[in-house]
Amino acid sequence: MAEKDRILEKLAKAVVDRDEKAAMAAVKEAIDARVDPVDAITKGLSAGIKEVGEKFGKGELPIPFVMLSGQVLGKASEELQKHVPKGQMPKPLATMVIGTVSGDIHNLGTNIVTAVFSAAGFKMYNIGVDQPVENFINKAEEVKADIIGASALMSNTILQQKFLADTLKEKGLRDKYIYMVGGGAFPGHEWCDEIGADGYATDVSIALEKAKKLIEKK
Amino acid sequence: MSRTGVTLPSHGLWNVCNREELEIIDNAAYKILNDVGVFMDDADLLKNAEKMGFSVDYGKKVVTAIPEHIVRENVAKAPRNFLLAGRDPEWDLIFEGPGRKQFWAPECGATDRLDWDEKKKTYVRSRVGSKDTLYAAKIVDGIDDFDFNLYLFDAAEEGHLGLPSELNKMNAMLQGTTKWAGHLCTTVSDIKEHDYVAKLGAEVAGGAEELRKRPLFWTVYNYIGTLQLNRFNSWLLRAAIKHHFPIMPAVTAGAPLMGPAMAAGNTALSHAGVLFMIALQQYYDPGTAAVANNIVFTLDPFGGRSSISALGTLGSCAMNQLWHEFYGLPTAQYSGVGDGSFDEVAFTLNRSETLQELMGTDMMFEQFSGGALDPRMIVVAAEIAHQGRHFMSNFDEIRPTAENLALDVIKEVGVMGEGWMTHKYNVDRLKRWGKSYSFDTRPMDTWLEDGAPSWVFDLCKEKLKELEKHEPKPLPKDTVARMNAIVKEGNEKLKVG
Repeated sequence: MAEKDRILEKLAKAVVDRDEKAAMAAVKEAIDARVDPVDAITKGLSAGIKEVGEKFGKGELPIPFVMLSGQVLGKASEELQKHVPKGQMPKPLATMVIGTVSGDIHNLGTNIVTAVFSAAGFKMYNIGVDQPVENFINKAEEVKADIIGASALMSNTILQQKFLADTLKEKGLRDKYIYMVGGGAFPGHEWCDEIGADGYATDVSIALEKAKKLIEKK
Repeated sequence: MSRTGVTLPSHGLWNVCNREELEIIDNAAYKILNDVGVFMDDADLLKNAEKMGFSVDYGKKVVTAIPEHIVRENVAKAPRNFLLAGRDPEWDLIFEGPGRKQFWAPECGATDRLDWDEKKKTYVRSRVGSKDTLYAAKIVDGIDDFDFNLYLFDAAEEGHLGLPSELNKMNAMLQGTTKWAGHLCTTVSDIKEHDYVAKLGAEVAGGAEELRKRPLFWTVYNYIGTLQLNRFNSWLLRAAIKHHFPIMPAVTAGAPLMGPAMAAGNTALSHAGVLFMIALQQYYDPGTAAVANNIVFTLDPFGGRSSISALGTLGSCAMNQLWHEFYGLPTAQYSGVGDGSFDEVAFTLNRSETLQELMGTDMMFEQFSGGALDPRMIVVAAEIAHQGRHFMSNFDEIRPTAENLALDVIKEVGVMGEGWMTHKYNVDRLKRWGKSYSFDTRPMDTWLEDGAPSWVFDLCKEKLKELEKHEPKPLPKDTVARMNAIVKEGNEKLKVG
């Protein structure tokens, strides 16, 4: 096995093993060996996180492990990016702004989606809980997001998902973004159609598949 | 005369901690209150906490340095003897100290209904509203094994339309049951909606003072993400104090998501949250009932679902002991899993209910997935309650009293067992035999000949058809008219969007 392949494997393994020390050592090795940093990210770290995502989907990995792998990937990737020539930065699968709607402070679902989507190659911006409609839109505009995701747990906060859709329409931004809704308030297809959202899910694995399909279509 | 509840045995219940261990957990809860504190997103409640002598960081909205003696002093004001009233007094839930009686009801709050399409062999899912709340309330009203009535279908349709869903939900509950009508939950419209609900309750009870004496429902609180009391919960607590609604606080998000402090640590956390809220309530509304929810919540680390795990169950048992033994107050608890396939829900429900029976939990909530409910699951819950009640009501059969040992009868029947089937001793006690509520208990060959009907899909469906015919004793027409007028006004004034 060539030295480059061995280093890429080490990077992937460090992510799977949630081993930050090993990941940073592999990053140093990659830089010293002049491995293309874009390859190190896309063929090393990303391969690892893909494996993590697959294992989670099969119910083999618990969420905290996915989160930890995501953190290891983030740190290693940050270091590698310093060595990527301008304009050659690898693009994420998609950029997504996610948050919990105004009046609702439940964040378990959005945290899980953030972790699992990050593991699948999405660039995630989690704006947190109790977020007014404007904050979703402002953040999406700021980071040039592809997807906006709004979560609501309670049946009396779910209406905020409609307000977000309406505001996007009013501002003429509705077609600019894929709009997904989710959360424990169980938005079904009926609700999704009613408010004109592009997709819904109350389960992270289903959400990921839908998001990927919607991105492909876009 | 109330007909509710199963009298619990005075001893022999399942305990997981000795007194010394309970004291350690109890002290840990006070340490959490002192060192970590509670988040409350409501300026008025923060001021109330400060007036009680707690330290308040208004910037962070956190109450800390909560002195143990103030909490103890106020929790001690919570009544040991109280009632939660049925519209029909026959269904009053009478509490005479902790662990004396066990009351049962199914619990869900589903936002969707599932109806099985026999032709397509799949479920049809539809959003529910207060008409479905009413439908389920009537069914539960007609099942004697349920002592009270918790909403099974949420007024989600009203919520989607921007209407005050709690108001619409409580209207359906109060009209749909003669039993105690359960949970008033959080709203998004400050305490105005609760004020309307208070008016509804007063109409049914015969005035605000009557409602105070005979509370037809209570208020339910859920801490989130360890000890965060969001503004909705804070508003609800203010409303409860204003209208003297009883409270049931619960910590439904155990802090360390999945350990290392899953059992003992999460128990201390849950205990801390409940202690704080009861202390706050009792300071401002002394003597109004408070029931500790002994849930120690854990999350399934593989799917992020809420769950009653083995460790959570141990914690819940410890919580139950704490509130019974140290504070002399009754407890309530959810069981089952918050989300999952019906097979898993039914199995877990049965298992966790059995453990809770043995804990001596006073109020048993048979919980189903809050997402969507097939009404046939009400029959599943009824069967579990029926069997559980039978088990607990015959618990004392094992006590080796002269009657239970019946040595004279054994001697009389002799080694050959002659005439034992028709012996008076046997005949007199046949009613003690537990008969199933909904299972096909005939011999297997008979069952096979009849096409082997399944429990959930066939038998519960038939049972449900019978139950759908039940009509609770209606409220007087003029009361209903006034209630509907209150809801109409509330809908007009509180509608958002």
